[in-house]
Amino acid sequence: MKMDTTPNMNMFIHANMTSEREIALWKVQAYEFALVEVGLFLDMNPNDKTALSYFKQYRDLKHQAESDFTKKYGPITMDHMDNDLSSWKWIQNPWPWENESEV
Amino acid sequence: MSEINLPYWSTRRDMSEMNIPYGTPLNDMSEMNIPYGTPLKDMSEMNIPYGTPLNDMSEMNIPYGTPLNDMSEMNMPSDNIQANDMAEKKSEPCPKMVLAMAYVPKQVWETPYEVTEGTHRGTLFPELYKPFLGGGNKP
Repeated sequence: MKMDTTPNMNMFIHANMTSEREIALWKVQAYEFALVEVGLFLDMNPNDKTALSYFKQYRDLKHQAESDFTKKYGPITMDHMDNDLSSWKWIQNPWPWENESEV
Repeated sequence: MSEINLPYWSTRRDMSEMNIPYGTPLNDMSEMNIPYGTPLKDMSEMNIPYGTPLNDMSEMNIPYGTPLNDMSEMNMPSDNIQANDMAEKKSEPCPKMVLAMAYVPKQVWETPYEVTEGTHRGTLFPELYKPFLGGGNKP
């Protein structure tokens, strides 16, 4: 699946988002946000073909971004299918209060 | 950490309603006598099945929301009597609209923002992008 690489993609990546990891996480968040938004639209317009196809396309992109992130940086959620269970990597992640960008 | 301090709101002695462990008994809620809610025939405003037509809502002409200088109630007058007088003068009858009912026109699909831009703006849809413009400044 091709990643979203429209010219705007990097415009809203914050200046203080320095690491590749942060940028990759921001993309997952953005795709997820888009899905929530279109999901709300679909609640009111359940038969809108354009919205449905947008949802399908961005669901794929979100899962791909999530999968890429997980394989490279470890789990985002405890039960993601791409989580490496050779050891319990869940506890190795930086916890929210250890994340420098949020301090 | 040797001691857990409970937050102030969690002390159960302040919650007298908790004495009824299963909630308010049905016979204390007289409004529950209408088991299926307000019958449709009692709601005359429901005669407009699709809500208020957009052309009846003149305030919708301001695409960026109410400019702050049009919201005199935001001036916070010093006493409530004055505030009530102002509210009374301001309220004019709106044809076909009843009090305490909200009207939301149905959203139609439009080309969304690119996802990171949408996340940044707080909405994916340009139509719903309503930044707060204090003082009524236009972008």
